[in-house]
Amino acid sequence: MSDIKKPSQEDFDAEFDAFLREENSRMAQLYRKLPHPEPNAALDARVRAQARQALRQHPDTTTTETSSRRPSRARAWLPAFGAAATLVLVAGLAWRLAPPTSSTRETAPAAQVAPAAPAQSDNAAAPAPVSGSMQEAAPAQAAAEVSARASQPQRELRRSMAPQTPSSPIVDAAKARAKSAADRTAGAAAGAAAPALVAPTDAAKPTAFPPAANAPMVQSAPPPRAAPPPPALAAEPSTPVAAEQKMMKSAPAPAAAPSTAPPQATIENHVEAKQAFSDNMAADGPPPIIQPDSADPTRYRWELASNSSPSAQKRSGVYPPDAPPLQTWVAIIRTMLRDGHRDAAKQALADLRARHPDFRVPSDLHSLE
Amino acid sequence: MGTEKTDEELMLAYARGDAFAFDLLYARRRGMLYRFILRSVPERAVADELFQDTWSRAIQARSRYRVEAKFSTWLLQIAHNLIVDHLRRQRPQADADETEHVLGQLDAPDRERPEEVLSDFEQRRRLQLALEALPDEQRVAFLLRVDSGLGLEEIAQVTGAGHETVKSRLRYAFAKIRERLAE
Repeated sequence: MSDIKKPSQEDFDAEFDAFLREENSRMAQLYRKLPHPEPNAALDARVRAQARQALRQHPDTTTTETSSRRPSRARAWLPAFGAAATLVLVAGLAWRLAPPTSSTRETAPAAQVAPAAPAQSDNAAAPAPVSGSMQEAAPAQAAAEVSARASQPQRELRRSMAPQTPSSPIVDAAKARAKSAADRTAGAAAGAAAPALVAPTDAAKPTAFPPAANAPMVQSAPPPRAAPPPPALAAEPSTPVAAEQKMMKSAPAPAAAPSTAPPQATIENHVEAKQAFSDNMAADGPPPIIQPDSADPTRYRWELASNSSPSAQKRSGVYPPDAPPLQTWVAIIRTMLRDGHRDAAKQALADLRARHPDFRVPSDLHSLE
Repeated sequence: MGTEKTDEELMLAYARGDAFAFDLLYARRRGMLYRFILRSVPERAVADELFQDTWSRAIQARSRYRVEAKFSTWLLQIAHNLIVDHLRRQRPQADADETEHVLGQLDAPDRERPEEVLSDFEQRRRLQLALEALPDEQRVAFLLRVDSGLGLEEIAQVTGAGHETVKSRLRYAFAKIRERLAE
């Protein structure tokens, strides 16, 4: 039996080995004779359509994957955006709260020229002589106006950059001062007790802070000596705006200052601004009427008419002793020189310098000093 | 003049959006896959369903396809998994008694080779019957070897079985078919 089985087993092993090794074994040849069924056309069409549908949906799938990744990308950018926003905020706050720039520092003395005084409405209500009150306050006011106008663009820029003033002691104090001064001015206007000059004399408080800048005319008080206006001026419009217009009319130099003295010069140096104002005071304005006094040729009768307002008032006097407005004063001195009254002119200039320490003597009058 | 693209290159091209590459690949492998499925699952409707499912799986997995094996092996592996799942739901696996019966026949006395004495038609009929009678694992291994031309390693890769296990399955399948042809 074993002899019979052995060849059979060997044949089987040989055939099986051939089946494993060869592609074209006897068993394979026989298998290939079997029918070779294939998928029908409908099945082929379904599979191909599915393949193309998958390709058409590929962009959507990609989009979905991208959109699912998008939040993570956004989250990745969040720290960067946050850091940038923080940097901008900090820079803005630092710039806003930083010490005043050079222009601000240079405009500060203008405010000091006319320091705020308490109970200014009381002072305004008190009667005072006409001579010198307005004229003394005018340079400080006008210089402050020049400085304020020069710093106006910067304030506008800051206002646009920082629409909301951050709460700080300085800002709050400025706001409080402005508010209280405005209230006082409004109260004085309601009382019609010659409040018109209260606002105009306070032009010299330009600050870097918008609230103070919005009410510079009412914030700063006039100098203590800045007495209320003469009775004639008490009838002037009592609103702050009208008072400002009145002030501009009575002291026209500030209005002309920006055109004759560049604001940049004012920003650079406040003293120069004051000098420019003095020059303008001496150069502009309606020409005064100056005539030698018939009784004393060294005395001059002066008459000044303000013709820029319907309510223009004529002011007049005899100098000495009636102190005229600044430009009239200078004109009188020049008239004295022209008339040969050098000593009187010298005395008049000294008198003017005493009343107006900030006045810069024109070059043609330097010989009198 | 240009060399014909391999199955793997076509599949990668399709993954990049080339629908024509898929057509070429499908035309090349549709018959082999369909026969493999149809001889594993006699019902034609089921075979069609499994055939479409196999391609659908391949289409969905195109972006994850890597050339780590032959495309045909990968495709047959997908089909095999589907077939196995289907067969597990349909009927139990062939028991060991049948296998022992076939192995016992290996020691039978020598006789004439059946293919030499039977007509081609009869041989094909018997072969068909023998294939249908094979246990699933043996039939799959046999079909992968004869129809798809896979070697032992590739069959092992498709079926997830070991090398020796595949060889043993093939040996049993070969013996049963040979026995059936010799009847």
